[in-house]
Amino acid sequence: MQLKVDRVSKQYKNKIAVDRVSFTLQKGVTGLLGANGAGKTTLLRIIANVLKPTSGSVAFENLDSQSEEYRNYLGYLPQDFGYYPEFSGLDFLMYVASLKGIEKTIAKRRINELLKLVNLEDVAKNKIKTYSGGMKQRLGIAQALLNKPKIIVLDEPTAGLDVKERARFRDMIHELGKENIVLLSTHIVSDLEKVADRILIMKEGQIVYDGKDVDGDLEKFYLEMFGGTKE
Amino acid sequence: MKIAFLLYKYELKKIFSQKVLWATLLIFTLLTIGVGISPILSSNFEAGIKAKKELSGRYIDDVLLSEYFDGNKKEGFGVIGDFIRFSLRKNEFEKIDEKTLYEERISNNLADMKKDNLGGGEAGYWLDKEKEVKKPFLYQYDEGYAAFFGVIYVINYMLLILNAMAVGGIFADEKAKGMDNLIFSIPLGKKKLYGIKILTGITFSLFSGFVLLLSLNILNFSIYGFEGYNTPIQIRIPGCMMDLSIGEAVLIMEGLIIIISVLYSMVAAFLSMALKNHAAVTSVMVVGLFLSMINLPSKLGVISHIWKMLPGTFVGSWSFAQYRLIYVFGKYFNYLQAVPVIYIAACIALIFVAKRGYDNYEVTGK
Repeated sequence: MQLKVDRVSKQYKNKIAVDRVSFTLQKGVTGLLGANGAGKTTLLRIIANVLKPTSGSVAFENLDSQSEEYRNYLGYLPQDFGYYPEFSGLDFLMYVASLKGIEKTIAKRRINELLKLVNLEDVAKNKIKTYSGGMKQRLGIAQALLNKPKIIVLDEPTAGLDVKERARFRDMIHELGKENIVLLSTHIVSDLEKVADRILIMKEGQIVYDGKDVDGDLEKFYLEMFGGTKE
Repeated sequence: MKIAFLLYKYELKKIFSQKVLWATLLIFTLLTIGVGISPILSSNFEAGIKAKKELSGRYIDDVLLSEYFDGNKKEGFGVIGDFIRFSLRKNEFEKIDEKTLYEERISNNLADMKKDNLGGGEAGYWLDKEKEVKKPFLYQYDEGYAAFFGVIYVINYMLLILNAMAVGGIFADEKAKGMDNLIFSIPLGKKKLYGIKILTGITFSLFSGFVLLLSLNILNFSIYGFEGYNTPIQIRIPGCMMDLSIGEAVLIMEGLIIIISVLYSMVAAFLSMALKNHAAVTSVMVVGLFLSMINLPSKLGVISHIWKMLPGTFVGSWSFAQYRLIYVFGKYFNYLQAVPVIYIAACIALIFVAKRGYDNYEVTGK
Protein backbone atom coordinates (compact mmCIF):
# COMPACT_ATOMS: atom_id res chain seq x y z
CA MET A 1 0.00 0.00 0.00
CA GLN A 2 1.65 3.22 -1.08
CA LEU A 3 0.85 6.80 -1.95
CA LYS A 4 3.16 8.28 -4.53
CA VAL A 5 3.62 12.02 -4.91
CA ASP A 6 5.60 12.59 -8.07
CA ARG A 7 7.21 15.94 -8.94
CA VAL A 8 4.13 17.91 -7.84
CA SER A 9 4.17 21.68 -8.34
CA LYS A 10 1.55 24.34 -7.85
CA GLN A 11 1.99 27.83 -9.16
CA TYR A 12 -0.27 30.84 -8.49
CA LYS A 13 0.46 33.70 -10.88
CA ASN A 14 3.90 34.79 -9.65
CA LYS A 15 4.20 32.47 -6.66
CA ILE A 16 5.29 28.86 -6.59
CA ALA A 17 3.50 27.38 -3.58
CA VAL A 18 4.74 23.81 -4.11
CA ASP A 19 7.89 23.18 -6.06
CA ARG A 20 8.58 19.75 -7.61
CA VAL A 21 7.78 17.74 -4.51
CA SER A 22 8.25 13.96 -4.63
CA PHE A 23 7.90 11.29 -1.97
CA THR A 24 6.25 7.94 -1.40
CA LEU A 25 4.28 7.14 1.73
CA GLN A 26 3.65 3.72 3.26
CA LYS A 27 1.48 2.61 6.18
CA GLY A 28 2.21 4.68 9.28
CA VAL A 29 2.10 8.27 10.44
CA THR A 30 4.08 10.81 8.45
CA GLY A 31 4.42 14.27 9.87
CA LEU A 32 4.62 17.26 7.60
CA LEU A 33 6.31 20.18 9.32
CA GLY A 34 6.88 23.68 8.12
CA ALA A 35 6.38 27.30 9.01
CA ASN A 36 3.24 29.14 7.95
CA GLY A 37 3.33 29.70 4.19
CA ALA A 38 5.74 26.83 3.56
CA GLY A 39 3.23 25.18 1.21
CA LYS A 40 1.93 22.43 3.53
CA THR A 41 -1.77 23.18 3.08
CA THR A 42 -1.41 23.50 -0.71
CA LEU A 43 0.38 20.17 -0.88
CA LEU A 44 -2.25 18.49 1.30
CA ARG A 45 -5.04 19.96 -0.83
CA ILE A 46 -3.41 18.51 -3.92
CA ILE A 47 -3.16 15.10 -2.23
CA ALA A 48 -6.79 15.46 -1.11
CA ASN A 49 -7.76 16.28 -4.69
CA VAL A 50 -9.20 19.65 -3.74
CA LEU A 51 -6.61 21.42 -5.88
CA LYS A 52 -5.20 20.37 -9.22
CA PRO A 53 -1.41 20.50 -9.40
CA THR A 54 0.15 22.70 -12.06
CA SER A 55 2.37 19.73 -12.87
CA GLY A 56 3.17 16.33 -11.46
CA SER A 57 0.87 13.64 -10.14
CA VAL A 58 -0.41 11.90 -7.03
CA ALA A 59 -1.42 8.24 -7.10
CA PHE A 60 -2.51 5.59 -4.65
CA GLU A 61 -1.86 2.02 -5.79
CA ASN A 62 -1.82 3.26 -9.40
CA LEU A 63 -5.10 5.15 -8.94
CA ASP A 64 -4.64 8.74 -10.09
CA SER A 65 -5.77 11.33 -7.55
CA GLN A 66 -8.13 12.84 -10.11
CA SER A 67 -10.16 9.63 -10.21
CA GLU A 68 -13.30 9.01 -8.20
CA GLU A 69 -11.91 5.65 -6.99
CA TYR A 70 -8.96 7.47 -5.42
CA ARG A 71 -11.32 9.64 -3.41
CA ASN A 72 -13.04 6.53 -2.07
CA TYR A 73 -9.80 5.71 -0.25
CA LEU A 74 -9.33 9.23 1.06
CA GLY A 75 -10.24 10.77 4.41
CA TYR A 76 -9.46 14.46 4.74
CA LEU A 77 -9.64 16.90 7.62
CA PRO A 78 -8.99 20.37 6.20
CA GLN A 79 -7.43 23.18 8.16
CA ASP A 80 -9.92 25.61 9.76
CA PHE A 81 -12.77 23.71 8.34
CA GLY A 82 -16.16 25.02 9.28
CA TYR A 83 -19.45 23.39 10.04
CA TYR A 84 -23.09 24.11 9.59
CA PRO A 85 -23.81 25.42 13.10
CA GLU A 86 -27.50 24.53 12.97
CA PHE A 87 -26.73 20.88 12.24
CA SER A 88 -26.30 18.42 15.07
CA GLY A 89 -23.12 16.34 15.11
CA LEU A 90 -25.22 13.40 13.94
CA ASP A 91 -26.76 15.41 11.09
CA PHE A 92 -23.34 16.58 10.02
CA LEU A 93 -21.89 13.08 9.89
CA MET A 94 -24.96 11.80 8.06
CA TYR A 95 -24.59 14.66 5.55
CA VAL A 96 -20.91 13.89 4.92
CA ALA A 97 -21.71 10.16 4.72
CA SER A 98 -24.25 10.95 1.98
CA LEU A 99 -21.65 13.01 0.13
CA LYS A 100 -19.33 10.04 0.37
CA GLY A 101 -22.04 7.86 -1.15
CA ILE A 102 -22.53 5.67 1.93
CA GLU A 103 -25.97 4.07 2.21
CA LYS A 104 -28.07 5.28 5.14
CA THR A 105 -28.13 2.02 7.14
CA ILE A 106 -24.39 1.44 6.71
CA ALA A 107 -23.74 5.09 7.51
CA LYS A 108 -25.76 4.91 10.75
CA ARG A 109 -23.75 1.92 11.95
CA ARG A 110 -20.45 3.52 11.02
CA ILE A 111 -21.41 6.84 12.62
CA ASN A 112 -22.21 5.08 15.91
CA GLU A 113 -18.78 3.42 15.87
CA LEU A 114 -17.04 6.69 15.15
CA LEU A 115 -18.97 8.69 17.72
CA LYS A 116 -17.76 6.17 20.29
CA LEU A 117 -14.21 6.41 18.97
CA VAL A 118 -14.10 10.19 19.19
CA ASN A 119 -16.09 10.25 22.42
CA LEU A 120 -18.98 12.35 21.13
CA GLU A 121 -21.80 9.84 21.70
CA ASP A 122 -23.49 11.86 24.43
CA VAL A 123 -23.58 15.10 22.46
CA ALA A 124 -24.28 13.66 19.01
CA LYS A 125 -27.76 15.18 18.88
CA ASN A 126 -26.67 18.60 20.11
CA LYS A 127 -26.16 21.42 17.62
CA ILE A 128 -22.56 21.88 16.51
CA LYS A 129 -22.66 25.52 17.56
CA THR A 130 -22.72 24.29 21.18
CA TYR A 131 -19.51 22.23 20.73
CA SER A 132 -16.11 23.27 22.06
CA GLY A 133 -13.12 23.59 19.69
CA GLY A 134 -11.90 20.14 20.70
CA MET A 135 -15.29 18.54 20.12
CA LYS A 136 -15.44 20.10 16.66
CA GLN A 137 -12.00 18.75 15.81
CA ARG A 138 -13.03 15.29 16.98
CA LEU A 139 -16.12 15.56 14.83
CA GLY A 140 -13.80 16.53 11.97
CA ILE A 141 -11.76 13.38 12.51
CA ALA A 142 -14.94 11.30 12.61
CA GLN A 143 -16.11 12.64 9.24
CA ALA A 144 -12.70 11.90 7.72
CA LEU A 145 -12.96 8.26 8.85
CA LEU A 146 -16.53 7.64 7.68
CA ASN A 147 -15.56 5.79 4.52
CA LYS A 148 -12.84 3.69 6.24
CA PRO A 149 -10.13 5.48 4.27
CA LYS A 150 -6.69 4.10 3.52
CA ILE A 151 -5.17 7.56 3.11
CA ILE A 152 -5.88 9.94 5.97
CA VAL A 153 -4.82 13.54 5.43
CA LEU A 154 -5.00 15.80 8.47
CA ASP A 155 -4.19 19.48 8.12
CA GLU A 156 -3.31 21.09 11.48
CA PRO A 157 -5.72 18.84 13.37
CA THR A 158 -4.52 19.90 16.81
CA ALA A 159 -4.82 23.64 16.27
CA GLY A 160 -6.81 25.18 19.08
CA LEU A 161 -6.87 22.06 21.25
CA ASP A 162 -5.82 21.99 24.87
CA VAL A 163 -3.05 19.71 26.15
CA LYS A 164 -5.41 16.92 27.20
CA GLU A 165 -7.30 16.96 23.88
CA ARG A 166 -4.02 16.97 22.00
CA ALA A 167 -2.79 13.90 23.85
CA ARG A 168 -6.04 12.08 23.08
CA PHE A 169 -5.66 13.07 19.46
CA ARG A 170 -2.13 11.74 19.26
CA ASP A 171 -3.27 8.36 20.59
CA MET A 172 -6.02 8.21 18.01
CA ILE A 173 -3.65 9.10 15.18
CA HIS A 174 -1.16 6.50 16.38
CA GLU A 175 -3.87 3.82 16.21
CA LEU A 176 -4.95 4.93 12.74
CA GLY A 177 -1.37 4.79 11.50
CA LYS A 178 -1.15 1.06 12.23
CA GLU A 179 -3.40 0.19 9.31
CA ASN A 180 -3.40 3.29 7.13
CA ILE A 181 -1.30 5.95 5.51
CA VAL A 182 -1.64 9.01 7.75
CA LEU A 183 -0.22 12.32 6.63
CA LEU A 184 -0.36 14.89 9.38
CA SER A 185 0.54 18.51 8.86
CA THR A 186 1.43 20.79 11.72
CA HIS A 187 3.77 23.54 12.75
CA ILE A 188 3.86 22.21 16.32
CA VAL A 189 6.87 19.93 16.69
CA SER A 190 5.72 18.21 19.88
CA ASP A 191 2.66 16.82 18.06
CA LEU A 192 4.94 14.71 15.94
CA GLU A 193 7.74 13.68 18.28
CA LYS A 194 5.80 10.82 19.87
CA VAL A 195 3.59 9.77 17.02
CA ALA A 196 5.32 10.16 13.66
CA ASP A 197 7.17 7.30 11.98
CA ARG A 198 8.58 9.68 9.45
CA ILE A 199 9.03 13.43 9.18
CA LEU A 200 8.89 15.65 6.10
CA ILE A 201 9.90 19.27 6.49
CA MET A 202 8.78 21.84 3.96
CA LYS A 203 10.32 25.19 3.26
CA GLU A 204 9.41 27.56 0.44
CA GLY A 205 7.43 24.88 -1.36
CA GLN A 206 10.11 22.22 -1.23
CA ILE A 207 10.79 19.20 0.96
CA VAL A 208 14.02 20.06 2.73
CA TYR A 209 14.08 17.09 5.09
CA ASP A 210 12.73 13.56 4.79
CA GLY A 211 13.61 11.12 7.58
CA LYS A 212 12.72 9.64 10.96
CA ASP A 213 14.42 12.07 13.28
CA VAL A 214 17.29 14.49 13.15
CA ASP A 215 20.06 13.31 15.43
CA GLY A 216 17.37 12.43 17.95
CA ASP A 217 16.38 16.05 18.36
CA LEU A 218 13.70 17.09 15.93
CA GLU A 219 12.77 20.14 17.91
CA LYS A 220 16.30 21.54 17.92
CA PHE A 221 16.69 20.96 14.20
CA TYR A 222 13.35 22.52 13.44
CA LEU A 223 13.93 25.54 15.64
CA GLU A 224 17.30 26.14 14.03
CA MET A 225 15.74 25.95 10.61
CA PHE A 226 12.62 28.03 11.14
CA GLY A 227 12.73 29.64 14.51
CA GLY A 228 9.41 27.85 15.15
CA THR A 229 7.86 26.85 18.45
CA LYS A 230 7.61 23.61 20.29
CA GLU A 231 4.10 24.31 21.52
CA MET B 1 -31.40 7.81 -5.20
CA LYS B 2 -31.87 7.48 -1.44
CA ILE B 3 -28.52 9.21 -0.91
CA ALA B 4 -29.51 12.01 -3.28
CA PHE B 5 -32.76 12.47 -1.36
CA LEU B 6 -30.89 12.62 1.95
CA LEU B 7 -28.51 15.24 0.58
CA TYR B 8 -31.47 17.20 -0.77
CA LYS B 9 -33.04 17.08 2.70
CA TYR B 10 -29.86 18.45 4.27
CA GLU B 11 -29.51 21.18 1.66
CA LEU B 12 -33.08 22.24 2.43
CA LYS B 13 -32.27 22.17 6.13
CA LYS B 14 -29.36 24.55 5.52
CA ILE B 15 -31.68 27.03 3.83
CA PHE B 16 -34.57 26.73 6.24
CA SER B 17 -32.40 26.88 9.35
CA GLN B 18 -31.67 30.56 8.60
CA LYS B 19 -33.73 32.35 11.23
CA VAL B 20 -33.46 35.66 9.41
CA LEU B 21 -35.19 34.06 6.43
CA TRP B 22 -38.15 32.92 8.49
CA ALA B 23 -38.36 36.37 10.07
CA THR B 24 -38.36 38.00 6.61
CA LEU B 25 -40.95 35.57 5.27
CA LEU B 26 -43.15 36.28 8.28
CA ILE B 27 -42.78 40.06 7.86
CA PHE B 28 -43.58 39.81 4.15
CA THR B 29 -46.62 37.63 4.79
CA LEU B 30 -47.86 40.09 7.41
CA LEU B 31 -47.20 42.99 5.04
CA THR B 32 -49.19 41.23 2.31
CA ILE B 33 -52.03 40.71 4.76
CA GLY B 34 -51.75 44.31 5.96
CA VAL B 35 -51.88 45.73 2.43
CA GLY B 36 -54.75 43.39 1.59
CA ILE B 37 -56.93 44.26 4.55
CA SER B 38 -56.24 47.99 4.60
CA PRO B 39 -59.26 48.81 2.34
CA ILE B 40 -61.55 47.16 4.91
CA LEU B 41 -60.62 49.88 7.37
CA SER B 42 -62.10 52.53 5.07
CA SER B 43 -65.45 53.83 6.33
CA ASN B 44 -67.29 53.34 3.03
CA PHE B 45 -65.84 49.90 2.30
CA GLU B 46 -69.11 48.00 2.83
CA ALA B 47 -71.13 50.54 0.85
CA GLY B 48 -68.63 50.45 -2.03
CA ILE B 49 -68.77 46.67 -2.27
CA LYS B 50 -72.56 46.69 -2.11
CA ALA B 51 -72.76 49.29 -4.91
CA LYS B 52 -70.35 47.34 -7.11
CA LYS B 53 -72.37 44.18 -6.60
CA GLU B 54 -75.52 46.08 -7.60
CA LEU B 55 -73.77 47.24 -10.76
CA SER B 56 -72.60 43.71 -11.52
CA GLY B 57 -74.12 42.15 -14.64
CA ARG B 58 -74.48 45.46 -16.52
CA TYR B 59 -72.96 46.16 -19.93
CA ILE B 60 -70.89 49.31 -20.34
CA ASP B 61 -73.24 50.64 -23.00
CA ASP B 62 -75.19 53.80 -23.76
CA VAL B 63 -77.71 53.07 -21.01
CA LEU B 64 -75.05 52.73 -18.31
CA LEU B 65 -73.04 55.67 -19.66
CA SER B 66 -76.15 57.86 -19.52
CA GLU B 67 -76.70 56.90 -15.91
CA TYR B 68 -73.10 57.67 -15.17
CA PHE B 69 -73.04 61.06 -16.87
CA ASP B 70 -76.54 62.19 -15.93
CA GLY B 71 -75.63 62.72 -12.33
CA ASN B 72 -76.67 59.32 -11.14
CA LYS B 73 -73.14 58.40 -10.16
CA LYS B 74 -73.30 55.83 -7.43
CA GLU B 75 -70.54 54.57 -5.21
CA GLY B 76 -69.82 51.53 -7.42
CA PHE B 77 -69.58 53.65 -10.54
CA GLY B 78 -65.96 54.42 -9.73
CA VAL B 79 -64.90 51.39 -11.72
CA ILE B 80 -66.83 52.74 -14.75
CA GLY B 81 -65.21 56.14 -14.29
CA ASP B 82 -61.78 54.52 -14.23
CA PHE B 83 -62.59 52.57 -17.38
CA ILE B 84 -63.59 55.78 -19.20
CA ARG B 85 -60.58 57.70 -17.85
CA PHE B 86 -58.05 55.05 -18.88
CA SER B 87 -59.75 54.45 -22.24
CA LEU B 88 -59.67 58.17 -23.10
CA ARG B 89 -56.31 58.75 -21.37
CA LYS B 90 -57.88 61.83 -19.75
CA ASN B 91 -58.62 62.67 -16.15
CA GLU B 92 -61.37 65.13 -17.07
CA PHE B 93 -63.92 64.22 -19.72
CA GLU B 94 -67.27 65.24 -21.10
CA LYS B 95 -70.28 63.02 -21.67
CA ILE B 96 -69.48 60.37 -24.23
CA ASP B 97 -71.53 57.71 -25.97
CA GLU B 98 -70.75 54.02 -26.20
CA LYS B 99 -69.58 54.02 -29.83
CA THR B 100 -67.21 56.96 -29.38
CA LEU B 101 -65.85 55.57 -26.13
CA TYR B 102 -64.97 52.17 -27.63
CA GLU B 103 -63.50 53.79 -30.76
CA GLU B 104 -61.47 56.22 -28.68
CA ARG B 105 -60.12 53.34 -26.62
CA ILE B 106 -58.76 51.63 -29.73
CA SER B 107 -57.40 54.80 -31.32
CA ASN B 108 -55.62 55.70 -28.06
CA ASN B 109 -54.14 52.23 -27.91
CA LEU B 110 -52.89 52.65 -31.49
CA ALA B 111 -51.49 56.08 -30.60
CA ASP B 112 -49.54 54.46 -27.74
CA MET B 113 -48.07 51.98 -30.22
CA LYS B 114 -47.00 54.85 -32.43
CA LYS B 115 -45.35 56.58 -29.48
CA ASP B 116 -43.37 53.37 -28.92
CA ASN B 117 -42.24 53.50 -32.58
CA LEU B 118 -44.05 50.28 -33.37
CA GLY B 119 -44.65 49.38 -36.99
CA GLY B 120 -47.68 48.34 -39.00
CA GLY B 121 -47.03 44.68 -38.29
CA GLU B 122 -47.62 45.18 -34.59
CA ALA B 123 -50.71 47.35 -35.09
CA GLY B 124 -52.16 44.75 -37.47
CA TYR B 125 -51.48 41.97 -34.97
CA TRP B 126 -53.25 43.81 -32.15
CA LEU B 127 -56.19 44.89 -34.29
CA ASP B 128 -56.68 41.24 -35.25
CA LYS B 129 -56.60 40.31 -31.56
CA GLU B 130 -59.02 43.11 -30.74
CA LYS B 131 -61.58 41.60 -33.14
CA GLU B 132 -61.87 38.62 -30.76
CA VAL B 133 -62.76 40.89 -27.83
CA LYS B 134 -66.51 40.92 -27.21
CA LYS B 135 -68.15 44.34 -26.83
CA PRO B 136 -69.76 46.09 -25.11
CA PHE B 137 -67.96 44.96 -21.99
CA LEU B 138 -70.02 43.23 -19.36
CA TYR B 139 -69.10 44.44 -15.91
CA GLN B 140 -69.22 41.79 -13.22
CA TYR B 141 -68.21 42.31 -9.63
CA ASP B 142 -64.52 41.26 -9.73
CA GLU B 143 -62.86 42.87 -6.72
CA GLY B 144 -61.17 39.62 -5.61
CA TYR B 145 -59.23 39.56 -8.90
CA ALA B 146 -58.73 43.30 -9.30
CA ALA B 147 -57.18 43.50 -5.82
CA PHE B 148 -54.55 41.00 -6.98
CA PHE B 149 -53.14 43.47 -9.50
CA GLY B 150 -52.92 46.15 -6.83
CA VAL B 151 -50.17 44.28 -4.92
CA ILE B 152 -48.63 41.77 -7.29
CA TYR B 153 -45.60 43.94 -8.05
CA VAL B 154 -44.87 44.07 -4.30
CA ILE B 155 -44.99 40.26 -4.17
CA ASN B 156 -42.48 40.28 -7.02
CA TYR B 157 -40.05 42.42 -5.02
CA MET B 158 -40.55 40.28 -1.93
CA LEU B 159 -39.70 37.15 -3.89
CA LEU B 160 -36.51 38.70 -5.17
CA ILE B 161 -35.38 39.52 -1.65
CA LEU B 162 -36.38 36.12 -0.25
CA ASN B 163 -34.59 34.21 -3.00
CA ALA B 164 -31.49 36.36 -2.67
CA MET B 165 -31.42 35.67 1.07
CA ALA B 166 -32.14 31.95 0.84
CA VAL B 167 -30.34 30.86 -2.30
CA GLY B 168 -27.60 33.49 -2.30
CA GLY B 169 -25.61 31.40 0.15
CA ILE B 170 -26.05 28.09 -1.62
CA PHE B 171 -22.47 28.06 -2.93
CA ALA B 172 -21.04 31.08 -1.12
CA ASP B 173 -21.63 29.64 2.34
CA GLU B 174 -19.56 26.58 1.47
CA LYS B 175 -16.58 28.87 1.11
CA ALA B 176 -17.47 31.06 4.07
CA LYS B 177 -17.84 28.03 6.34
CA GLY B 178 -14.75 26.33 4.92
CA MET B 179 -16.79 23.35 3.75
CA ASP B 180 -15.61 23.62 0.14
CA ASN B 181 -12.33 21.92 1.10
CA LEU B 182 -14.18 18.94 2.41
CA ILE B 183 -16.88 18.69 -0.23
CA PHE B 184 -14.44 18.78 -3.11
CA SER B 185 -12.36 15.94 -1.64
CA ILE B 186 -15.33 13.59 -1.44
CA PRO B 187 -16.29 11.14 -4.22
CA LEU B 188 -19.80 12.47 -4.79
CA GLY B 189 -18.71 16.01 -3.83
CA LYS B 190 -19.03 18.38 -6.73
CA LYS B 191 -20.58 15.89 -9.10
CA LYS B 192 -23.85 15.20 -7.37
CA LEU B 193 -24.06 18.16 -5.06
CA TYR B 194 -24.37 20.76 -7.81
CA GLY B 195 -27.59 19.30 -9.16
CA ILE B 196 -28.96 18.84 -5.66
CA LYS B 197 -28.15 22.43 -4.72
CA ILE B 198 -29.89 23.70 -7.85
CA LEU B 199 -32.90 21.53 -7.08
CA THR B 200 -32.93 22.91 -3.54
CA GLY B 201 -32.85 26.48 -4.89
CA ILE B 202 -35.76 25.71 -7.21
CA THR B 203 -37.68 24.10 -4.34
CA PHE B 204 -37.27 27.22 -2.21
CA SER B 205 -38.33 29.49 -5.06
CA LEU B 206 -41.48 27.42 -5.63
CA PHE B 207 -42.18 27.30 -1.90
CA SER B 208 -41.79 31.06 -1.41
CA GLY B 209 -43.77 31.81 -4.57
CA PHE B 210 -46.64 29.57 -3.52
CA VAL B 211 -46.66 30.82 0.08
CA LEU B 212 -46.90 34.48 -0.93
CA LEU B 213 -49.41 33.87 -3.73
CA LEU B 214 -51.49 31.65 -1.51
CA SER B 215 -51.52 34.26 1.27
CA LEU B 216 -52.57 36.89 -1.23
CA ASN B 217 -55.28 34.72 -2.82
CA ILE B 218 -56.73 33.52 0.46
CA LEU B 219 -56.84 37.07 1.68
CA ASN B 220 -58.36 38.59 -1.44
CA PHE B 221 -60.97 35.90 -1.96
CA SER B 222 -61.95 35.79 1.70
CA ILE B 223 -62.49 39.56 1.71
CA TYR B 224 -64.04 40.03 -1.73
CA GLY B 225 -65.25 36.57 -2.81
CA PHE B 226 -64.58 34.57 -5.96
CA GLU B 227 -67.13 36.27 -8.22
CA GLY B 228 -66.13 37.92 -11.47
CA TYR B 229 -63.67 35.45 -12.98
CA ASN B 230 -65.14 36.09 -16.45
CA THR B 231 -65.12 39.89 -16.31
CA PRO B 232 -63.30 41.22 -19.40
CA ILE B 233 -59.87 42.46 -18.35
CA GLN B 234 -60.39 45.56 -20.51
CA ILE B 235 -62.64 47.04 -17.80
CA ARG B 236 -59.60 47.20 -15.50
CA ILE B 237 -56.91 47.52 -18.19
CA PRO B 238 -58.49 49.24 -21.22
CA GLY B 239 -55.14 49.10 -23.02
CA CYS B 240 -55.31 45.32 -23.24
CA MET B 241 -56.30 44.12 -26.70
CA MET B 242 -56.51 40.39 -25.97
CA ASP B 243 -59.63 38.37 -25.40
CA LEU B 244 -58.93 37.66 -21.75
CA SER B 245 -61.00 37.62 -18.59
CA ILE B 246 -59.62 39.09 -15.39
CA GLY B 247 -59.56 35.61 -13.84
CA GLU B 248 -57.45 34.30 -16.71
CA ALA B 249 -55.16 37.31 -16.40
CA VAL B 250 -54.66 36.58 -12.70
CA LEU B 251 -53.83 32.94 -13.48
CA ILE B 252 -51.34 34.01 -16.18
CA MET B 253 -49.70 36.45 -13.81
CA GLU B 254 -49.53 33.86 -11.03
CA GLY B 255 -47.84 31.38 -13.38
CA LEU B 256 -45.44 34.11 -14.41
CA ILE B 257 -44.67 34.94 -10.78
CA ILE B 258 -43.76 31.30 -10.11
CA ILE B 259 -41.41 31.27 -13.13
CA ILE B 260 -39.93 34.60 -11.99
CA SER B 261 -39.36 33.20 -8.51
CA VAL B 262 -37.41 30.30 -10.05
CA LEU B 263 -35.48 32.80 -12.18
CA TYR B 264 -34.58 34.83 -9.08
CA SER B 265 -33.33 31.69 -7.34
CA MET B 266 -31.17 30.78 -10.34
CA VAL B 267 -29.78 34.32 -10.54
CA ALA B 268 -28.98 34.06 -6.82
CA ALA B 269 -27.34 30.64 -7.32
CA PHE B 270 -25.28 31.98 -10.22
CA LEU B 271 -24.18 35.06 -8.27
CA SER B 272 -23.45 32.87 -5.26
CA MET B 273 -21.10 30.84 -7.45
CA ALA B 274 -19.54 33.92 -9.07
CA LEU B 275 -19.18 36.20 -6.03
CA LYS B 276 -18.70 33.58 -3.28
CA ASN B 277 -20.23 36.02 -0.84
CA HIS B 278 -23.80 35.74 0.44
CA ALA B 279 -24.15 39.41 1.45
CA ALA B 280 -22.79 40.54 -1.92
CA VAL B 281 -25.38 38.40 -3.74
CA THR B 282 -28.23 39.98 -1.78
CA SER B 283 -26.83 43.48 -2.36
CA VAL B 284 -26.36 42.98 -6.11
CA MET B 285 -29.88 41.62 -6.49
CA VAL B 286 -31.48 44.42 -4.49
CA VAL B 287 -29.53 47.06 -6.46
CA GLY B 288 -30.67 45.29 -9.65
CA LEU B 289 -34.25 45.51 -8.41
CA PHE B 290 -34.01 49.27 -7.85
CA LEU B 291 -32.40 49.78 -11.24
CA SER B 292 -35.12 47.81 -12.96
CA MET B 293 -37.68 50.26 -11.56
CA ILE B 294 -36.27 52.98 -13.81
CA ASN B 295 -38.42 53.44 -16.87
CA LEU B 296 -36.28 53.61 -19.99
CA PRO B 297 -37.70 55.63 -22.90
CA SER B 298 -38.69 53.75 -26.05
CA LYS B 299 -36.25 55.78 -28.16
CA LEU B 300 -33.46 53.65 -26.68
CA GLY B 301 -34.68 50.87 -28.97
CA VAL B 302 -33.45 47.36 -28.20
CA ILE B 303 -32.23 48.36 -24.73
CA SER B 304 -35.66 49.58 -23.69
CA HIS B 305 -37.12 46.52 -25.39
CA ILE B 306 -35.04 44.21 -23.18
CA TRP B 307 -35.52 46.45 -20.15
CA LYS B 308 -39.29 46.08 -20.32
CA MET B 309 -38.89 42.33 -20.16
CA LEU B 310 -36.97 42.37 -16.87
CA PRO B 311 -39.04 40.85 -14.04
CA GLY B 312 -38.83 44.02 -11.94
CA THR B 313 -40.35 46.02 -14.79
CA PHE B 314 -42.65 43.46 -16.31
CA VAL B 315 -44.77 42.28 -13.40
CA GLY B 316 -47.97 44.28 -13.06
CA SER B 317 -51.25 44.90 -14.82
CA TRP B 318 -49.38 46.99 -17.43
CA SER B 319 -47.81 43.86 -18.91
CA PHE B 320 -51.23 43.08 -20.45
CA ALA B 321 -50.95 46.29 -22.45
CA GLN B 322 -47.41 45.85 -23.79
CA TYR B 323 -47.73 46.19 -27.53
CA ARG B 324 -44.23 45.41 -28.65
CA LEU B 325 -43.92 42.05 -30.38
CA ILE B 326 -41.09 39.64 -30.94
CA TYR B 327 -40.76 38.35 -34.47
CA VAL B 328 -39.38 34.80 -34.60
CA PHE B 329 -39.62 32.13 -37.32
CA GLY B 330 -41.98 34.28 -39.37
CA LYS B 331 -44.41 34.68 -36.48
CA TYR B 332 -45.20 37.45 -34.04
CA PHE B 333 -45.20 36.70 -30.31
CA ASN B 334 -46.43 39.15 -27.71
CA TYR B 335 -44.56 39.73 -24.46
CA LEU B 336 -46.87 37.50 -22.44
CA GLN B 337 -46.02 34.62 -24.75
CA ALA B 338 -42.31 35.34 -25.13
CA VAL B 339 -41.30 36.46 -21.66
CA PRO B 340 -41.97 33.16 -19.82
CA VAL B 341 -39.98 31.30 -22.50
CA ILE B 342 -37.13 33.81 -22.19
CA TYR B 343 -37.16 33.48 -18.38
CA ILE B 344 -37.03 29.67 -18.56
CA ALA B 345 -34.21 29.84 -21.14
CA ALA B 346 -32.36 32.27 -18.85
CA CYS B 347 -32.76 29.83 -15.93
CA ILE B 348 -31.30 26.99 -18.00
CA ALA B 349 -28.42 29.18 -19.22
CA LEU B 350 -27.63 30.30 -15.65
CA ILE B 351 -27.63 26.68 -14.45
CA PHE B 352 -25.08 25.73 -17.12
CA VAL B 353 -22.85 28.76 -16.63
CA ALA B 354 -22.80 28.29 -12.84
CA LYS B 355 -22.06 24.58 -13.36
CA ARG B 356 -19.02 25.50 -15.40
CA GLY B 357 -17.88 27.82 -12.62
CA TYR B 358 -18.42 25.09 -10.02
CA ASP B 359 -16.47 22.54 -12.08
CA ASN B 360 -13.53 24.91 -12.45
CA TYR B 361 -13.68 26.24 -8.91
CA GLU B 362 -10.56 25.66 -6.87
CA VAL B 363 -10.27 26.15 -3.16
CA THR B 364 -8.08 29.08 -2.22
CA GLY B 365 -7.24 30.90 0.99
CA LYS B 366 -7.34 29.20 4.35
